[in-house]
Amino acid sequence: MEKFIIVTGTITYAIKGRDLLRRMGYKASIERITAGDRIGCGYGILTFGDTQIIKSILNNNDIKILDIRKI
Amino acid sequence: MLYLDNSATSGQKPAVVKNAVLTALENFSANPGRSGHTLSVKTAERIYSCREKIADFFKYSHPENVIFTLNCTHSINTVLKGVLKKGDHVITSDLEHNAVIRPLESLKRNGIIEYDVAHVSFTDDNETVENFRRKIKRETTLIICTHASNVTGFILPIKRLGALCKEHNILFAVDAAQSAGIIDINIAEFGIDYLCVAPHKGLYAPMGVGVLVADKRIDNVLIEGGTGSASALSEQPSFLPDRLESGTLNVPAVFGLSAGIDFVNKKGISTIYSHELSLIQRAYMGINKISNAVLYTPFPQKGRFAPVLSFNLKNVQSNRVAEVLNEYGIAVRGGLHCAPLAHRMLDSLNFGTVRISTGVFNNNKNIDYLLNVLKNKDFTRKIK
Repeated sequence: MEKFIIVTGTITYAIKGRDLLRRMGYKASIERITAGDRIGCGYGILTFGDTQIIKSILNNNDIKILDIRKI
Repeated sequence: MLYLDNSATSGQKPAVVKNAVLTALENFSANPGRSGHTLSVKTAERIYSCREKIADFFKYSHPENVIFTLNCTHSINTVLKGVLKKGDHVITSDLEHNAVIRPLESLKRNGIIEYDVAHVSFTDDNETVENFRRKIKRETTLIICTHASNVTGFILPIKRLGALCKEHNILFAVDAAQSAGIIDINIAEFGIDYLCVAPHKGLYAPMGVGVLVADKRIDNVLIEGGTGSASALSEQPSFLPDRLESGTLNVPAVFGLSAGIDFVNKKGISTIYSHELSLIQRAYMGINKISNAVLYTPFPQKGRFAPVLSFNLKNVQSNRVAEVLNEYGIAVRGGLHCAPLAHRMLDSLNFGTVRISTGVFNNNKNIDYLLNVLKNKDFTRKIK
């Protein structure tokens, strides 16, 4: 199972996405994106599972994804 | 003090609201969406929960499009100055507050837009809708109007105006300063693209927080700056709510707003409306019996009026009436209520009107006291 961070930028999308994924049975938590990142400070969702499925769940719920990073 | 000025702000806040503000100050005094520490994230979660609550309250499915502003005027300015472009045409009503009229006038004087004012009929919604329809031009991009007048309480046919907008592919913005928390608002059903809310009124929040629900894009941003997101980029984020929420939020006020919505939901919006309007109806009937009193609207029927009533005494400055009522411990508002167009329509520009607006904590005794004072000989003598 892949472990990755979905960068949402805003804490609002991170919370919305985390809550959504949790309701669907995924493990998910809020992750702070560090200052050294090319996008800059922000937030993401640390989660596990199939990247494409999770990406489509978030997209279908209008959660804007700035980046997906495998860990 | 007998407070009958709830259209200006709800004078008494529920205990749950006060407690929520205190909770924010004591236990959530961290900056949401900025730092990554536990308290910051916990505060952000509470802020997000309030966005969800607001979205639910207005039957809307995108909490991320719920924007916290400084107040309803800020929300309205955000829409008008963010959406309108050179050459656009706007239609508004003749019951609007200066929160709508002044930005429109400023955009017009700066050569950006043109706008027209449609007359609202108190007796015939068909006429009102047709008045708006007749003003539509090829350049019309937006209709903005109040949901309920802050002078007369009259409720505009919002759902029909929303349908008119959709029919002509026009954006629709609603100033819900007097209606949110008192009259049901369904964003999708009413076809509203931008909903501007004054939470410190019918939602019993503290002052210092406004709400904008932006279902459509806003290109130009009034205030740019730190959002806690995409901080390496020099341009404002494109995503909501961050795009329209630069700078630190008023967290205690948002906590209060969240509790205020719970309070309204628990009481029930229709119960609140029926209670507040019945008091206005009682006042109307009483004032109607006072020989030198002037009323400016038909009897405030349920479904047609918000709990706001304008009256005056013949040939007396309304501010004087309000001043003397204040001496009797009654808080009402005199003057033009920042809505000169409405007074032009009512022919009350010279004297203004005395406005009474009820809240959930008022009762029949309050209205009877007001009526007794208005009929009192000492009061009449003082007025002169």
